[in-house]
Order: sequence, then structure tokens, then C-alpha cells
Amino acid sequence: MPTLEFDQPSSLAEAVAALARDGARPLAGGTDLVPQLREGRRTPRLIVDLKRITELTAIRETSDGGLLIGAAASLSSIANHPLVVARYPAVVRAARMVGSLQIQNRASLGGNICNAAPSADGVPPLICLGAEGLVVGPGGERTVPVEAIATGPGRTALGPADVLVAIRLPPPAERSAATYLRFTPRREMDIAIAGAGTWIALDAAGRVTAARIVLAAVAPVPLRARGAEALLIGAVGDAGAFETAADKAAAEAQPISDTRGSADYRRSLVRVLTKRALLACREQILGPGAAA
Amino acid sequence: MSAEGATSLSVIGRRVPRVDARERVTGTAVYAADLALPGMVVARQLRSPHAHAIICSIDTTRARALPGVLAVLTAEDFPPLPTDATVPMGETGYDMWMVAELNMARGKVHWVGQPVAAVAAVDRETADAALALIAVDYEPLPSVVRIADAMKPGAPVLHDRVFTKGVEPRPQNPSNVCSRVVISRGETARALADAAATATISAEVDTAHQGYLEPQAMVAQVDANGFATVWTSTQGQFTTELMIARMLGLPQSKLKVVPLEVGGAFGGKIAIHGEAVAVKLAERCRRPVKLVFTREDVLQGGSGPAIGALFDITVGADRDGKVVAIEGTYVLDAGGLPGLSPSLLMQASAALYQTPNLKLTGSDVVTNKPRTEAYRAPGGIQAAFAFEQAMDALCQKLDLDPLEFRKRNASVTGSLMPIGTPFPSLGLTTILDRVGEHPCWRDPLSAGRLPRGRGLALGYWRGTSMTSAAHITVAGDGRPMVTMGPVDISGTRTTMAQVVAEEFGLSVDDVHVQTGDTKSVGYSDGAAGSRVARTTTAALVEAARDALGQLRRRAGEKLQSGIDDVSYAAGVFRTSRGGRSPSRNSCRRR
Amino acid sequence: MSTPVTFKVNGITYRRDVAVGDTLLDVLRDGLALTGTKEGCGNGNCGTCTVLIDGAPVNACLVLAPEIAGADIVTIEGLSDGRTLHPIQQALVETGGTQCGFCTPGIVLSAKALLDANPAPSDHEIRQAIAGNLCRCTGYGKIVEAIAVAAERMRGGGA
Repeated sequence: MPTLEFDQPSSLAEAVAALARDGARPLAGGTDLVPQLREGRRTPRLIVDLKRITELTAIRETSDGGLLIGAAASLSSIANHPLVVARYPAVVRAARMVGSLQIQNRASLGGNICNAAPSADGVPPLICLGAEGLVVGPGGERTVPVEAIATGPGRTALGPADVLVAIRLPPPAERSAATYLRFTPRREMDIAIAGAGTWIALDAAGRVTAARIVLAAVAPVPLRARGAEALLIGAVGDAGAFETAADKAAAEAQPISDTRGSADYRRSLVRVLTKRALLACREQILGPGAAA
Repeated sequence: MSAEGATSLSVIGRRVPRVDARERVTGTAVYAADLALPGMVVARQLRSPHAHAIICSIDTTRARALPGVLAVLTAEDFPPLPTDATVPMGETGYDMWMVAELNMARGKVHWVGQPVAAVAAVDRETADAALALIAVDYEPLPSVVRIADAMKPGAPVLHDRVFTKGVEPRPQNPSNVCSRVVISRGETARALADAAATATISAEVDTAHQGYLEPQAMVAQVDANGFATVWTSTQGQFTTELMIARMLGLPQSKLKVVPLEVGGAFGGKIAIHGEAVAVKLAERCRRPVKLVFTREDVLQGGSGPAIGALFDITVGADRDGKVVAIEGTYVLDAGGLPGLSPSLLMQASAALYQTPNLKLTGSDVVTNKPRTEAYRAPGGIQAAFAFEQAMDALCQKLDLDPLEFRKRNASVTGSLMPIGTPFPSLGLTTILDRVGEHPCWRDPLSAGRLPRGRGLALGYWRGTSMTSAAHITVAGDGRPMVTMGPVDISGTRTTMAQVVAEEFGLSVDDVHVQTGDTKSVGYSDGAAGSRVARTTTAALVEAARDALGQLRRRAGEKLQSGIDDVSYAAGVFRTSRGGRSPSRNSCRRR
Repeated sequence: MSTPVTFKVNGITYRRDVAVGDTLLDVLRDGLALTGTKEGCGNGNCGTCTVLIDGAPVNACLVLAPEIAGADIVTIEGLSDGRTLHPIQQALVETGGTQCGFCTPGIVLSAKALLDANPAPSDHEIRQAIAGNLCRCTGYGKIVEAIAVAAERMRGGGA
């Protein structure tokens, strides 16, 4: 019987060295890894617990007014952090959607990103906000856009000895807002049948100057609906424009039919959720009284 | 209680906390997985990866040789049972051949997850490693998962010993249709053809699991005399004992089943799932054996979910909205082994409507999925789902209010049930009247963010009686100690405490209630069919009056008074001459 | 492989060799014979294994044993001495918010974590706090009622 070993490095260098060993697997919150171990879906020889490494759990402001979120910080610690609450409410929303409170007290954004489930709720808001992953590996340090990390269901662009250390969010742009909506049959403790994250910036005339739309659970990876984004740029950000964009996003989605829902239903959800998310962003920017 | 002539009750009808609430909120209630006995080992079952396959051979050599493995079992270690083997259950019986297959597949597997072998080892890791070393040579067969596919000509037949029951002349070839039941009266086809309005609903209901939070769990121990004790999560300890004894060929004098707290069952813990296997393992390795199902075991073939079914219901009415005919086809998905008879649920779906013409045809069909079991009113809810929609569709055609329609057609005392027996007593019209007066039905629906609607559906199920036993021992200080036979899965220990407290004129705190094991209380059928409170309270009222009668006689002797002169109230016996038992104590001591 | 860990459960410090592949749930139930914490699913879906680690509710089935080094863990056994019940436990007894009892220990701890942080929760906040604890018997109504009653009593008011 292969025995399982456990390592708790206290520095990044130690973590990288440990992960370079054969059969090593990183551990943050364990909410994906432990069920995988139990079900025999993963059979590592060494588990490397990243939670004793400061860079991996710290949440701190960057010099340019952005935020650095440790990849192993718990979703609860992120959702409760005053800077996240004040500047990135979309991240708070998504963090509070994952699993249950018990799960959120352990699970991490790093785990959510690197587990690479197409339905990951933490990922669309991060991509919408332009998040980058700080990765440390045998080759040194590098920056990888969060959008480029997942390459397929359960697969990432990271090497076996790479550590996603932190997620860097740029400072919130002027007159911009982001949000994430998903559809689940139950209100809690469920996996998205479809999700839509949106981020827009409006100029003084209410025209969209920048937009990102990221869809969950309707493609092998979180999907940028670039065609929909392009339709928004330069348009006045009103219900009509959002509907047009939402239709386009639904067309760009690549959903499959499975036990959670049919492809048609998922496409339909994308249309509804994208429009609602865009309207919510607009309301955040202009205030609740603004006419639709 | 407002019944005429009833004396006022002081304990029954009061809100009392459950007598077993404190152990639940403190986590001290004992469920089978909580038990630890000295020397206890861990059991695990090996489950089929195929939906339908022949077991060509099983080689357990490598598993047996693994250090830390104490016993390995397959079907060879259990006596083969004749096809007609049964154990008694209530007024009927339970098919034991099927129960044996549920616990250990013999020769063939019929669903993914059916157990094919079992091991006992020093720890869970070793047990799991041993499972991986058992080499099963399967010959996979074509499988059928949907009812319709299982019924097609040329479909792979699951059991060559199953011939459709209820068909004349008796079929020559085995079938996946296990039985055919017809319940009818009158001339349904003609009545439907002549009806002023008809409506048809075809519905497919999927199987669903009862979803009890506590997976099956049990501990078995065989002592030096070969006497086996099984602690388990079960709805019926006597049923469990009968099934274990029959499956192992054990005399019941060598077996005891102790029911522990049940973390939810809802019908899914009536048949044994592993208990006989655990006993056999314990006998083999001479150590207590604990078998606890994982959630994967529960949901992936180790337990019995509720039936799925196909329904086709047609109902017809005359111009006045009176039902003239009901025609229904009920095809149940039995899963991998023959199971539930459609008869009860067919009857239940139609019972509440008066109709001169009725034809209900039902079948249960085997498919390569886990064998289905009960889930609250087995199949009744599924059938009602289809049936009541047919009635609603008819209401729409007739432009009749759904409540008014039900009132117009409601069965009453004396109406014929589908099988022709008159209802001895039925309060449906009273219920419908009350519904009509209730704000839930009458209040206007306020507009909300979303459209709002209101509906009505009837449900009916016949509870069973079967057998319940209980006894009362009066303690040295006169307090009653109750041992009840049926397992408490719904708070019935508290009910019994209230009833006995009421009979004895004492408080609930004065009464101790416990559930007996199969050697410490009289035979009782399982907790199912909404029968425990009614039957066990009846038994305990008799027992209480018997006990008090015995005590009154002794009080008479002690107080040197004729028994007629002795009265009893709230724990004290008195005579009219002013004598009284100084304490309850003195009546107990000889 | 096993590894030594020191951790606290219900105020008592333990030093144990734990198997790397074991979970906190295994350590509690098998290692320490604290069987009040239950296993309902083993993969974080049902909440019957909820315990508090440093005050926060977590699924014990998802915490690997070596991770508990230095942790301050509270299980259902830590809430009462057996005689005096915690107000949440007492309220559940009174409202009838426990039937089969299997979900109860986990729910009590989720409720305790809620009331420790938020002494006056709204109905919505109570429901959110126990959203990670499934109950198949009660329909949740009496559980929510009990938590509200307990909250009021803990604030010094109520019956």
C-alpha cells in the first residue's frame, strides 16, 4: 500500500521544492482534494499544505491601490475583509455562493481556480476584474492572467511544481462595477447550472467604455463572451444594449446537456443572467434611481 | 379532546418535550456507527461495477492472504434459498430469496452496486485494500434501465425464475414483468366512450432516494456459545432477526437484534442491508464486526430507493361533473429484483372517488437498477401525482371548481373501495368542507412579483395494523417502566410515556420508556405504515389496566378490603374506610 | 504514514499520532471516541460533521488530520456538561426541533457560531447560518424557531 505523506512548508521555496517531488499535490482548503482522495480520483503520495506560508494566506493592499489575495486564504476571510467588501463586492458575492458556510471557512480562491471546474463560481468575477495569478515554480516567478489558468475541466496551465501564490486585483476603475449571478435549483449548497459574471465601465454619458462578460458552466472553462463584450463598447448602457449583448452571450456559450440541465436551458439562462448582471452593474455605477 | 363522554386528559393532548430530546441535542444518542466493542474489526462490501452480468468466478485468495484480513465471504458462504422462501411480515410475508440477493448476489448481478463479496479486516484501509484484491470474473450482459425497454420483446430477461404472476394461462417464459394486477368493476371502456367529458394524463415519475442522513450501520458479534447479537439501524428488529435467521439458517434462539437510534429511514430500513453478512463475518473471525455504509454505498446500489413509475390515467364524467369511469395503468419500476405489488398504490389513488366503473391495471417491472423499496406510503405519492392531475384536467374540461368537483365525487362511509369493500368510516367530506372554509383556500391571492396560483390534490393511504407488543413492569417505587416492541422512528417513545402516564395518573417524568430487543419484548412488526402509535398505545392501555388491576388486588389484600372498595388515583390506592397505601411502595412489596 | 499532532478539543489538549489520510472526523470519532459528531456523506455536502475550529464552523470530514495541529476545536460534547444545556440545545428540546437527531449536533454548532458572532440574527440570517446543515425530518421551521428563541434568551430576554 503506498503510504501518504504530509508536508507543511513555512516558506514558498520549501513549498516549491516539496511540490517538485513525485506525486506531490498542494493542499489549501481541501474541500475539493479531500473528496477526491476519498473517492480515489486522485492518488497523490505527498500532500503539501500551503496554509503556513504567509504569502498564501495574506490579503493586502498593493501600492497602486489594488489588492493581493493569498491563494490559500479562506473564502470567508476574503468575504469578510473590509477592502474586499468596499472595493470588490462581486468577489464577496461569489465567495459566499460556494458550497456552504462550512465550506467557505476552508475553501480558497486558489483552490477554486486550480480545481478548474467549469462551474467554478469564484473565477468569473476575478476574470471580469482583470485578475492575475502570481505563480512561483521551479522556473521562478511569473504572472498568469486568471483567465489563462484553466485549460479544460480539471486541467490547468500550471506545472506540477508550480504554486499559485496570490491573486492580484487591479484597483477598481472609475465608474465601473462588476457582479456575478448564477442559477441553481436550490438556494444554497448547489452547483451552478449556468453563471454570468459581468464588468462594465461607463463614461459620463452612460456609454460603455469597457466590458467583460464571463460565463460559468457553459463551456469546458469559464468562457469570455468576447462577441457580446464587443457589442457593448461604445453603446449606451441601457436595457436594450444589455439585451443585445445577452443574446450574443447566449449564442457564444457552448453548453452541454447533462443531469443538471439541457443545453437549451443553459443557453436560456445565460441570456437572462447576463442581462440581469449588466443591469445590476449599471445600477451600482449610476445609483438605484437611474432610469433604465 | 372534545369527544362526548371522555374524561378530561391531563397528559395526553399536552405539549411535552420528547423524552429522548436531550440525548439528541447533546450528541449522546447512540446510533449503530457510534458503537465500539473491544476487538472490533471493520467490514466492507465489494459491489458490482456492472448493471447486468453473470458472475463466472470469484477468486478471494489474494484478499485472504493480505495481512490484517480476517474473513472474506461470497455467496458460497450462505445457504442457497428456495425461490419461495419467505419470512412472515404482518399478515403476509416478505420474499427471502430476494432479500438474500440484496445482501449477497449469487450467480448474477442485476445492478451496479449489488454486493458480491464482503471482507472483515483490522481497519478500514486494510478492508478497502482487500476489496481491491478480490478478483471477480464477470460476463457482462446487455442491460435495461428504463421500464419501457425492459418490457420490449427481446429485452434481456433479468431473472429466469420470474414468471408474470396474475396472468392466465400461466406463462411459459420468464419475463421482466413480475406481476399483473387488475382491479375492476363495471364496464369502464363503454362508460368512458359515453362520458360527457374525459381527461387523460400520462406521467413518468423518476426514482428518488429517501435521503436519510444516517447511512446503514450495524455491529455484529457472535459469542462463545455461537449466539449472535446485532446492533443496527432498523425500522424493525424482529423483521431483521427473521431475515438474518432465514438467510443464515440460524435458529432464532441463537440470535438477538438490538435496535439503536435511527437517523432517518422513511421506509428504506425495513429489509436487511448487510446484517446477515456482518453476522457471518463475525462468526468467521470471532471478533465483533462493524459494517457502516458510506454515502456512496447508500446511493450507488447498496440501499433501496423509492419506485419510479409510468402512469396513464383516464377519467370520465357526466355533464353534472359526476365521475362515471376511471381507467388507470400503473407500471412500477421494481429495480433489479421483484418488489412492490402495484395493488395498494392503485387502490389508494382511486379510493377517494365514487365511481361505478373502474379498471386499474398494474405491473411491476424489473430493471437493472437498485431494487426499489418503500418511501412513505410506498408508491402512493407517485400515483397521486398522476391521478390528481387527471382529475384536475377533467375539472378544467368541465369548467368546475376543483374543490367542488371533489365534494361532488367524494367517497363517503359505505362507498365501495376499489376492491369492493365498503369504507367502514371515512371523513373525506368533512375534510373537504373544512378546506373550503380555510383562509388558505378562500383568501384572495395577492399579486406578487411572480404569478400566483392555488391548487388542490387529494391523498390517501391505508395504514396497517400488524402486531405490536409492549409490557409494563412496575418498579419498586411504583413507577411504570415501559418496554415497547416497535422501534421509535417518529417520537413514539414519548407518545407511550404520555399514554402510560395518563393511565397511571402520573407525570411523563415518572414513566421510563425503552425499546426492547428481540429477546426482551414481545414480537412486533416494524415501524411502518403509520401503525405504531395506534397499535402500541392500544397495547399499553391494556397493559396499564392489567398492571393496575393486579396492584389493586394486592392493595385490597394489604388494606384488608374488598377489591371493589379500593380506588386508585395518581399513584395511591385508597379504601372508602380511609385506608390508603402509605406509598406506592407498599403495594409492590410482597 | 502517521504524524504527531497536538490540538485542543473542548478545552482539553491532546497529543496524538494521526494517519495522514485520516480526517478530523476520524480522529474525533475513532481516535477520541467522541461520537457526537456524525458522518452523513463524507464529502462536505450534509453538514452532520460540523465542528468549530477556532470558532468557525467547518466540515470535519474535509479536514485532514495533520491539519489540526494547534487547532482549537469544539464539538457537540463541548457545549454542555450533560446537565445544563446550552440555550440552543434547550430551545431545540422545547420547540421540538429535533426528530431523528442525526443532524442535530451539527446544527447546534452552526447555530452557536452564528449567535457568538451575531447575537440578534434575522430569520434570514439564521437560515443562512444553517444552510450547510441538511435535515431530512423537521422541515427546518422548528429549528429556526429554536435558534431565535435561544438568541433572545442569550441576550437576556424572552421566555
